[in-house]
Amino acid sequence: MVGLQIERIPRDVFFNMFSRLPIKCLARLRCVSKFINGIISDPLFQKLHFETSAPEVYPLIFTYRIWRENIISLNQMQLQDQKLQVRFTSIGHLLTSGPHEFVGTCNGLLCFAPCTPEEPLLICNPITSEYISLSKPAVNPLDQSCATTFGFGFQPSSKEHKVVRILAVPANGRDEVPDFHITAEVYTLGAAAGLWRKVQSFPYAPQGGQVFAQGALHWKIHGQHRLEHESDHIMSFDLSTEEFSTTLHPSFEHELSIVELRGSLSAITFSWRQMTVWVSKDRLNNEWDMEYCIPLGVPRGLDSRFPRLVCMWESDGVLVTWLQDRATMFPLKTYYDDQPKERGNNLPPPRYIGDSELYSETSVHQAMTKAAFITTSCVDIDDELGQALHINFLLGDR
Amino acid sequence: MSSGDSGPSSSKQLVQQPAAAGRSPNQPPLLGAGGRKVIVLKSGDEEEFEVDLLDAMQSRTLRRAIEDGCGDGPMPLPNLTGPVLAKVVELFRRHRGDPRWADELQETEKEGMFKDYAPQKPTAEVKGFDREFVSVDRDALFDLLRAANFLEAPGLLDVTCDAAADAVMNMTVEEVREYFGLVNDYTPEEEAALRKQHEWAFQ
Repeated sequence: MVGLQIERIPRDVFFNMFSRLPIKCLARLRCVSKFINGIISDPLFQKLHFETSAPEVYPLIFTYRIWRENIISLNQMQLQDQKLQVRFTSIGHLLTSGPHEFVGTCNGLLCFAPCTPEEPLLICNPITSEYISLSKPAVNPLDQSCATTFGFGFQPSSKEHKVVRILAVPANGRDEVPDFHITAEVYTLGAAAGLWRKVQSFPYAPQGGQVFAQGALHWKIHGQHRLEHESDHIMSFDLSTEEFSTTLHPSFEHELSIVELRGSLSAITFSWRQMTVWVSKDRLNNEWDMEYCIPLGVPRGLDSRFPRLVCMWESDGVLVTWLQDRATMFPLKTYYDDQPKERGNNLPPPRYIGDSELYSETSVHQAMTKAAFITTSCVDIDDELGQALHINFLLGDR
Repeated sequence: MSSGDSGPSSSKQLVQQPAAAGRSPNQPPLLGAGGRKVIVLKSGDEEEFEVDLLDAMQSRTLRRAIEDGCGDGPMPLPNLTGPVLAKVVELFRRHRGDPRWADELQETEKEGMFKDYAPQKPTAEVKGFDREFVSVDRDALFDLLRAANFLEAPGLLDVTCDAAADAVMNMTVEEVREYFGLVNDYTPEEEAALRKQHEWAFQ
């Protein structure tokens, strides 16, 4: 303790100092001493860090082998020397209960939905390996013919995380065009009565993964399911108004994928040898910017009719796309300056940087995580009655 | 707060800014360039520094004291040493017009006291000065951190916290202990468990 007299440095100063550090560095600092760990674990510090630090985008893949081992682990993916490196060190063996599927990620939390109605829905923080389970919704699917879709997002105005469940029960099963009776429920994390509430429903049953962007959850709706929408379109659920709406996508000609790019909803349309990336400028007025036109080439094994876009992100002047089983990198810098944005930036031929065959043992999912806070405080409300653990999330706990 | 014009005995006295330390404690408040008052800060080791009122406003602690009418005699700051206070005063002077506290100054603004205040983004020169300012050893940096906290000077806190954060950013756990002068108070088992939990952060 020579000279420094750390005890004379107010806690506020450490809060300020550490709020400038990235998550990874803070995780290491926890191992320094109980004093430092105490500062980083302080909810006040975590709130400050969450609110002041720039979002850190960790492109993550997580691999799950739950059917065999009941383990989901999370691996960090990063670009290094123009190669995609996947660090196989798991952040945590996250789940210990039954089989779950990935729903989505926001603010560094991951949401997993159960594969069977008996299991609870899980929210976990991969940084701390903590997870909580939510109580079960009031309405349970009757049988296998019911389709359940989940969504997970954050409402900045109320600082609440919300989980949405959409249950589609076939109504007139014998029709040519299947009709569904659809109910939607919302669970607010950290709310005093953390229960599922019914919200206004919507005539479409989404399929596939959600995208959380611009304060709303988005799902792709396959066009052929409804006669009035011949092509694919996007169903959105606004987390503040809790209402569903249709977001029209910019080009109705082609196959569509949706992802999150720079915090905005991004629609990717595929046509012969070209992938066009649109970014939503004004969702309610349906304004889109054409951001990139990407030559697809003819990647081995790519089914151009139904390409599966796994994830896409921008980092250090490159755009990385993970299409089907191929990760591809496009340098952006030179194309930004001298081309008008409205016309889209034509990107040069792709450069393959990774191959998901590396991960043939596992499933790969996108989990772009803005991991901005470290712990969540768990409060066990009534474990004896078999109720799920409830959580006072940092942000929901006002 | 009284503006410089109201003090009858001081109204004609103009002093070059920044002035050297060591005025007689009995002298009345001074006026700096533009007719603004100059306040005198006194360190714990009895060194005195003249500071333009506009510069002193970068510290919420000083601003409160001035608003409470404590700015007429030398203002004692017993927990700051002369060398630390000298550095702080210099930083305040260099950051005059820093837009970070433009709003706060507007709140304080009375009788056109800061009429020549023109917010301007820190120039490359000021940024260079900031870098130089925190290029000090650990103990000096933490003296400045404590001063920033005591003075409630957001700009000073910003510069010093950034420097300390930069310093520990890429350190190993052992180096951080050394840097903060901390003893490892975990049991070997506790530390191993924490390291295992945060294994990903050590790559």
